[in-house]
Amino acid sequence: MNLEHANHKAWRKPFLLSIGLIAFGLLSALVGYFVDGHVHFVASWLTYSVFFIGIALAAVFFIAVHTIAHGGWQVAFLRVPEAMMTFIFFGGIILIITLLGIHDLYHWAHEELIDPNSEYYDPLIAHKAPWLNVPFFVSRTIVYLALWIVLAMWLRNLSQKLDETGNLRYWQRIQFVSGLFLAVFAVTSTLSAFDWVMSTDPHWYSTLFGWYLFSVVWVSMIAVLILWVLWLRKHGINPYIRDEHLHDLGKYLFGFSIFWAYLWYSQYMLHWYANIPEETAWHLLRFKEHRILFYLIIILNFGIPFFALMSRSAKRKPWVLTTVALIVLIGHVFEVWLLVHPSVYHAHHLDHWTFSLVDLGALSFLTGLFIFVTMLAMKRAPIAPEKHPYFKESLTYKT
Amino acid sequence: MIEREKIFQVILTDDEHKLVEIVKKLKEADQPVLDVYSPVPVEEVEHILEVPESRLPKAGFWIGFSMGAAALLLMVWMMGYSYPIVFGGKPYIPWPSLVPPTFETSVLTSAYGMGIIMFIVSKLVPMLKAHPIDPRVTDYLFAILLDEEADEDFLKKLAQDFDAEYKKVNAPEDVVIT
Repeated sequence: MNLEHANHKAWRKPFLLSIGLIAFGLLSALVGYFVDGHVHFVASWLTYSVFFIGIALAAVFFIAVHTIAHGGWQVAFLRVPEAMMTFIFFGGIILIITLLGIHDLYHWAHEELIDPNSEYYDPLIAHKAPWLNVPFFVSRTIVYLALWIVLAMWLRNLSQKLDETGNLRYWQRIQFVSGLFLAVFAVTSTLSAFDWVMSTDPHWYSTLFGWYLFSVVWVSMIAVLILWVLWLRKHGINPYIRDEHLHDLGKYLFGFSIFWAYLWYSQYMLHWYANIPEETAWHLLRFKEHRILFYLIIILNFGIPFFALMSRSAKRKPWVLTTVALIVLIGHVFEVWLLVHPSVYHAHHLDHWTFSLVDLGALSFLTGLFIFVTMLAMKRAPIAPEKHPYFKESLTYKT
Repeated sequence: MIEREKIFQVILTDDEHKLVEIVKKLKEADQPVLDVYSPVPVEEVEHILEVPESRLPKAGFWIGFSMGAAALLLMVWMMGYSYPIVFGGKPYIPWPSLVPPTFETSVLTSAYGMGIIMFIVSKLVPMLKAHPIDPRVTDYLFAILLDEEADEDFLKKLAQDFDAEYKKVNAPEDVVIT
């Protein structure tokens, strides 16, 4: 295996950055625990572990969907999503540890709500109890994570074997595993979003919530991918990345920002129009307490990428792509915050809180860990899959 | 209308890779390539010929933007000021329900606007008689159009090298769209 790129001295920077972020994150999460309290603490860790697991999962989806569609353009930087998907394991561990605070996170986890003799009896939650109960919830979480980890590692393994041997039998197996993953993903992505995020407000439901959360993590994954690809190109670590790749990644960021806005709007507009209290309550809470954030995410996640990335030349300029990718990432960091936190403090009858130290702690710890894991995984494999059947296409195609 | 005719030199080939190579050679030799006709889009040729980037997307954007804004203003004026009625308890200016019509208007006008502008720029009008350089250009041949002043011997040799066809044609003077 050709691992010369691992000795490049530019790797020092992300290494130091990730160590710094992890240290800062631990410190500020610890301080934030005493400042902001227990409930806010677990809510932040839930939010950002789900966010980063989602990004890693979207990386597997990226590989699977391009394999099934016989796409060739992404092969030059295929190792980046392959490295990102190893994070599912580490994010999964953090998520499972976070679920120790399940009674603080999820209103429905309190036994007295489903006991008909209790004064707190809630018929709506009791009706949902066969699905939303602690043992089944935890085992579902473990099943989702296990399925994703097994399939992702299988894909990564096959891809490296293909690179070592050049045997196209492995390519056929990659196609098979990709198809299998997509079938699993179709079900588990929606169900996991319902479980982990939507059930923080068990009275509220939205059928497209799974796709909505998918669009959030998918756009974020593309933004992260753009940042890694630009960094690898800038330092010459991956010499195969060309302007055409940047252009296509820019198109993705542009297109899927619109996709996110479309899903956001589809959900909001139907709830607004029908005006049924149990549906609008969710939006009303966010609109009342976080009006600035409510509008800000639309500007950051839709307005700015839509106008900034519209022209062809903008998609080919690294500085435009970097700026927009960072803006979109910040927008989605606030976005996932807004999905979880208002529901959690509302269920506890706590005063509303804002983005604070403990959120910053969880966010920077997980960002640091994500960079660290991705970096290690990228160093462990050749930087480009040179024996991939579509490798040449990736080097010659035109946009 | 009397169309003045002019003699042009043409190189015809049936392979797009050869086309790109020939155009590159012509550009290196400083021969004035007037135009390239192809039945399918060939990516590289316009970059080699240094054709300026099309302004059509910009036109499309501004048509869509202005017409979308106009539609939005019209709806706001009608529903909010000219004839305010309460529909199902919604406010007079219900912005979420104005988004789909605004979007549809901008997409529709942008698409039609770009189509119409392209017809105008390409001088395509109804009942126009086509003057293809060679009838096969509409089917499978790629044609490179050069001025009469271009070096004839050089062109002939180039055509021979690439197993392409060389010929002189009479065509209306305005066959080249600038």
